[in-house]
Amino acid sequence: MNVSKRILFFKSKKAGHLLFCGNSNSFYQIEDELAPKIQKMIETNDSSELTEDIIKEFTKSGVLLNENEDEFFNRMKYISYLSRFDNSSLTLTIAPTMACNFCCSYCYEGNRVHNSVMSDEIMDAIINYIKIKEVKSLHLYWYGGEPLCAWPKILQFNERIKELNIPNYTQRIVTNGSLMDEEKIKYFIDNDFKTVQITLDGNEEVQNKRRPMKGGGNSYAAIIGNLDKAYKYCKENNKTINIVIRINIDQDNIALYPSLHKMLEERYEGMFSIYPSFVKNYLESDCHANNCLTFEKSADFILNLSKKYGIYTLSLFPKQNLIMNCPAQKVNTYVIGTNGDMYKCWDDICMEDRKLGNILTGIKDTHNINPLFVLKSSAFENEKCKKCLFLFSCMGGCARSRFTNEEAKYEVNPLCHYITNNPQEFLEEYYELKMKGN
Amino acid sequence: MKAIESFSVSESFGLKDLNLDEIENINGGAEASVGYCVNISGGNTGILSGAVVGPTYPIGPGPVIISPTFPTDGPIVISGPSDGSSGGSSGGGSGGSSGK
Repeated sequence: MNVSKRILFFKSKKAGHLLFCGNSNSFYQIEDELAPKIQKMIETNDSSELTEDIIKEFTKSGVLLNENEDEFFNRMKYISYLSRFDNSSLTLTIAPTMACNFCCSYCYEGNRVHNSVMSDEIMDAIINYIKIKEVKSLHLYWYGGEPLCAWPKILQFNERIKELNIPNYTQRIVTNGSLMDEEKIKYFIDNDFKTVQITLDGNEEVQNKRRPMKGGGNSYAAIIGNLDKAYKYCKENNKTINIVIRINIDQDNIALYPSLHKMLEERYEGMFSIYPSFVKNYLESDCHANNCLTFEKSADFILNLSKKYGIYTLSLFPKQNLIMNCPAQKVNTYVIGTNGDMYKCWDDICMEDRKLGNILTGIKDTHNINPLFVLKSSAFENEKCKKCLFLFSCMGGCARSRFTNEEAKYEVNPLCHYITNNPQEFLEEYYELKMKGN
Repeated sequence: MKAIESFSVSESFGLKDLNLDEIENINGGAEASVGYCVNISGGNTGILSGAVVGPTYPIGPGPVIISPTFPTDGPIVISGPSDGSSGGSSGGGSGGSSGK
């Protein structure tokens, strides 16, 4: 047995000795009598002084490895690359339209919006592409623009995809929520949408200022009204809908997050997930760069959400490990724009130099986009990531952000998990949260 | 020692560890790959999220490694030889969540 190096063992002021293992995100409190044996285990790679129960637990959680660290690392890397190159599933993000009924202040697609809807010819080509791939799993993300602006197209697509009888078909949607009426709510539930992601950036005044509707209109009232409908429908019919409310944070609205989170949690009785996300700096549009939070401020925000408000987010403690950071790192993942152009990342829609080809004419990838996302972004090849305690819960961060940072030669957008800013403090806070029964 | 969080390596990737003995059959036999149904003892079913790769089929002693796919739904089978040693592990994960 070998002691993994991907552990953190420290003495905290309030919690005594704590041990965290990055191989599984397991987390232990170690009593004072046991601490010297744990310390010795780490220093000498010898676990023989531990009891059988502890050895069994540590073996399960990866504190102790049946192989050496390099072998474990290579096995995880092998599994990750098997997954990246696996052709038995296909992930498609489809933008049935680039039209949008909002004009958000920080939108990175600002100059890419146009009102056309995907043609029948493009839709036919996508369906044929899916048929040719003969996959057993198809994972679809509806995107845009605002995808609900092309609702009839989504309905049409879905009927045709269902006819293909793919054994494992899942779909998700990213929407501003303003057009989510009862018909769509029911459709999402009946067709088992895995997530319906909706953005809400603040109270009525702030939301309407940051995410106004084109031509006027109260975007806050529209979204809350539709969330109310979804909540009511589910309560009355004993159904569930996996709505995820995302709140985009920057300097302008950071102070509003706690009260907004609590309001939504209370209003919908915890039915919907709520999480903060940080506005990114998109150099090419750069309309919001000065308002973006630094990595340190973002990390402090996450910590203080818990400390001051008792609001837990996944960024406080990574419960789940990843095989890769995002679907764009798989070979068999594509984003298809309204005109059929194909990309790897949905942030790249309409960007000519990030295009791999077109669904009508095929993939040419003259800009080597696939190798960039699948290989170059790999955390397993990065010297800093390889040694990181949180490698498996972070997997190198956003691939697109990594390329942006490399091209700009400075950290335009942070890549690391926020816990890396001050891991001991984050872990202590998570311990406190758990002790309070949260 | 108190476990504040305790996950197996596989569980932390959102998986369910299964022993070989817990899998009743894999539809499709030697051709089984992603999307095929797996009948798990106890009347549950799951969906294979990767191709079945192993030294012998029908499944006998020896590791059966299921290659993972991403994103995944349902349990990913991780199994090993019936003597209890573990086979490969595989990963789920979260989708990209670019904002709108």
